[in-house]
Amino acid sequence: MAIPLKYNFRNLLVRRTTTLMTAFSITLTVAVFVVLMALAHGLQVSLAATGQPLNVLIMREGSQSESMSSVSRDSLQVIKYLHGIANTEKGEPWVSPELIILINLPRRGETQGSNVTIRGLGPEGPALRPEFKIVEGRFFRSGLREVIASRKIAGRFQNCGLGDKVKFAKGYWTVVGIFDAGDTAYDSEIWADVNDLATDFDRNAYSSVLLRAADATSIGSLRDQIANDRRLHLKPQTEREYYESQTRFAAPIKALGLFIAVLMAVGASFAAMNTMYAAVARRTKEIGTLRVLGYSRGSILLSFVLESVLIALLGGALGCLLALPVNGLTTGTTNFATFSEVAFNFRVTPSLLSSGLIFAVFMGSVGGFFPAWRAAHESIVSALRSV
Amino acid sequence: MWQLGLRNLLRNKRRTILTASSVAISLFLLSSLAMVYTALGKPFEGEERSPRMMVRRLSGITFMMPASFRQRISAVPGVVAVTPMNWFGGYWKEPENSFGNFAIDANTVFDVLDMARIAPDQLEAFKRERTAAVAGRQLMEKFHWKIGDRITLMGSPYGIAPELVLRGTFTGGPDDQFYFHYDYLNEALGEFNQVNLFWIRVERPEIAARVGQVIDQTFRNTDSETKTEAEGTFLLSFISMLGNVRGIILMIGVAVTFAVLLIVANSVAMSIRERVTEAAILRSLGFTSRRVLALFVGESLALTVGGALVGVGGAKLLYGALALRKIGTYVWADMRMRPETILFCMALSIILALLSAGWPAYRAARINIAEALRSVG
Repeated sequence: MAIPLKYNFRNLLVRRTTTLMTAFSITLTVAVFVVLMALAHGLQVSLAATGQPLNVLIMREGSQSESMSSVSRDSLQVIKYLHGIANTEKGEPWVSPELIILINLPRRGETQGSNVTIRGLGPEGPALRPEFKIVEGRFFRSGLREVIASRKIAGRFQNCGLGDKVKFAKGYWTVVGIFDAGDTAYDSEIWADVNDLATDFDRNAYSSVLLRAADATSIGSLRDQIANDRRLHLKPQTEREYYESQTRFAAPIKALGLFIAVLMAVGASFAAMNTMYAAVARRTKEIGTLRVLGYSRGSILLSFVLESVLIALLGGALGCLLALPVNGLTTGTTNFATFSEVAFNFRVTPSLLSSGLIFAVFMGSVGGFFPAWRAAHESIVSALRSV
Repeated sequence: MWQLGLRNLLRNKRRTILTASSVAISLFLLSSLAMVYTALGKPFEGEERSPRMMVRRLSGITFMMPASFRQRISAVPGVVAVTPMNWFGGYWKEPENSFGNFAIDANTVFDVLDMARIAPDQLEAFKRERTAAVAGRQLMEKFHWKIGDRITLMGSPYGIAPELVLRGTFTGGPDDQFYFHYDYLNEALGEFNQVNLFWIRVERPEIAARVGQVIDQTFRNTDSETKTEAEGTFLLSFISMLGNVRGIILMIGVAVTFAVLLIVANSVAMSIRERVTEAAILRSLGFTSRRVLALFVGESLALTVGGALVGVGGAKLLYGALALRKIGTYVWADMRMRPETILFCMALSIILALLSAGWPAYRAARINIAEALRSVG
């Protein structure tokens, strides 16, 4: 027969200072765990969520990133007439030549800067990214040195707000609009007209070409056509493949977060163990009485482990609450695959919170098991005789 | 008095060990965080007073400058040596084998890196042969290279894969870098005459800031405005690209500190609560309340500082043995426990011990003797 949970609750209430102190050390551990995982998860999502399944990105063979690739104007003409490209409403091939330039801009409140991606797009470019929408101001007009900045970049970098003038290439460019591209990698960019950008930077080649395939089977055919054309030296891949290959940058953050959390967890479970040993020592007589009343060793073991898990759950729940406010906070780091700033949000997801709770339960069980074992194996006679 | 304290600590050995080890683990973590925090926050060791500077384009290192800038930089008074430096970005055999490989001027690179040591005959061989290369000692060890090895650099954004011959090795400089001729790169790219960086050495560190200003002034209002920075500042800008790493470390550090406080306070409070009667007996035997207080606080101090010694000492030994400085230069070379870091962590552990023992010990020491003797715990 199991010992009623009420017994554990009452005991925890009687020793509330100890209970709370133990729970709080678990709270801090769980909070650090959740925050670090939310950081890694946010970075991962912003890269993994980018890309339409039918979009094909074409770069030079051997290039690891768009900014290091180059596609000549002649190649663009060849690409436009490949078979299997979707048509726009105007009946033209849905292709956007793009130019990527990284410029060093100072972050707000700092003198040190970071590389921000400036993307020049062809007229069909924005429609290839359905997440894209203007939230303030308007779209840029070509020939007028106008740019639009993502909301995350506008908020994090100097001179990138609506109406500001940002200096690069041969002079100042006006920010005429702020856009939102969901949680995708495009949400860390500044956009301009591809020809404006090419003229100003004296570039006579594009960086990459993005196009929409007519359907899933056309992707394979496009791959073959490009591979078979010896003149091109280009490598097509789906937009998804390109961004997914970059998500490995979140792995070291995850590993580090786990390492820190595990070390903190060892400390916290020792604290739980201390608390539970003290609880067992104080209640030796009670344990003897329970045994006399007919409760088995097993149910006493279970009862004490449960008590420890209850403390841990309380701590874990508080830890999740403590970590919750970071959800949605924007931060940024450099994606070393593209060597440019990637801005992203901390993401505290329900599954992350439940792993935080599971983590807490684990700490509680480890901390409670040995003391509970001791309680269960006390001999009845000596337990009853103890003071 | 000392003996009494010691006996008390040994009475509940399990609790003492559990508490001390959680303090040890937490302080190990805390001192590791402090180490990374300080390493990321300042110019690297010895770099504060380095006579070397980097000239880059104001708009960022991904932009290039005309190679002809070199003559105008050399002409600036105070500049002793100049080499172009193009990041080549190749790897050896597998993409995992990436390392810093740069195209430089073989004739001047070791005038800029005047602290690096290379055998004179090896340097001669490097200068003479257009396809020659030199590698730092750490790289030689990492990839088990020997002088005379043929090394092909693959996967570079330049789109060429040069076949080079290793003609020398150096030490005492950035020993994780690899250099080959800028002329070779330039020729392979059809005389493109563009440069990522100029690496320069000035006469004395004291004049570095002024020389930098003069250089930047020279190129103001050209198409390629420059920014000249001390080597340390230049490298720090890479770290700042990582984002607010120090802020996150600080947040974790605060959480760990509070966790230690809770753990120690809980353990000390428990052991004091169990001994209220004992404290009263001591008082009735003639111990002043101050001595009883000192006894309890001393116990907490021994517990925390003992644990901290193990944790911080462990970190010092571990990071010393790992020899992170052998992985790379600059920021890696700074990954070690500095005396300030150790001192900071130990001071923190003393504060934590006092804070956690303070209140319960004070109460136990001041309690009414008669009442305490009557209590049954």
